[in-house]
Amino acid sequence: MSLKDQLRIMVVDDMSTSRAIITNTLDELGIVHNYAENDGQVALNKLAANPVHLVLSDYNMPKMDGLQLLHALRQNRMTQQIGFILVTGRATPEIVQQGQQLGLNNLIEKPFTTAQMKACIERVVGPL
Amino acid sequence: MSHIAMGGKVVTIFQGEFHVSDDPGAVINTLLGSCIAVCLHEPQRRIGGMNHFLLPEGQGGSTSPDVKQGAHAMELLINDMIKRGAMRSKLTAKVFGAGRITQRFSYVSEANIAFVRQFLRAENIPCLAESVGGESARRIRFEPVTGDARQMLVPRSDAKEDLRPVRPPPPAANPVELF
Repeated sequence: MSLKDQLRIMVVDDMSTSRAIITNTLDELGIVHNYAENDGQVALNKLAANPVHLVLSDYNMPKMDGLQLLHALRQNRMTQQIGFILVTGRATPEIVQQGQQLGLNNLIEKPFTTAQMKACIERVVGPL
Repeated sequence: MSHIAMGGKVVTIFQGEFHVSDDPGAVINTLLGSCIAVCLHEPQRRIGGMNHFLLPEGQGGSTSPDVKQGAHAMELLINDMIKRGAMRSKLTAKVFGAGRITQRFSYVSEANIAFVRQFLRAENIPCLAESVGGESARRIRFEPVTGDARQMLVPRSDAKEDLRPVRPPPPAANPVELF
């Protein structure tokens, strides 16, 4: 069984169009175990109960932004090992620096190609 | 990127740009040929913004480069408004453009219109007015604080290609439609 058959990914994005774009990209990559949430706090609660291997999270979200979600995940023993990729429209130096301090594994800017997403994920989890 | 005009009141945006303002005197202005512009307004916070984009190939599918590009353009505008205090649930939209200025762009126009309608539906943003398609270019003036939009049709022969980063000529004395 290949890595992509085992990999479980949670997508967190408040915009349904963006969630669909990301999850459909994962489908194209053959990653079938992907789940989506539109709220960082809800995602956090679900991840604490059922951790995944990797989180792909939007940065701009109304209640809990992507870096706040990352920070919260790193505080919990159950979720601190989860890989975290930030998906953002604008990666400012401040976001990158703050993300690195919090333990961000990788970052991808929108709009991305399927190949870019594949490369981004592989830098965190290894060849798919 | 957003574009700030001299004087801070009238802002002209071009393809690939957006602008958000809560300045009571502000007007956001653009000239549309095949491109599409979405004007968003949040009445409680009295803030609004406009973008101007084109999905060049007009291909379908939620992972197509065009849909990603369009979603990105919409997300930048929405995020900037939310960052400035707009409530996502109160956003309303008015949509303009996607004219069939040349035969080359006729399919693209339909794809742009379909994308924006689908996007607004998916994100639960009510579309209060739209003026899309047709064979004329459009000059749009949007007041972000009130949400009022005015459209002036620009005769096809006078329309400048909106892909070119040139400042459009002053508006001609054409009929004005209020939305």
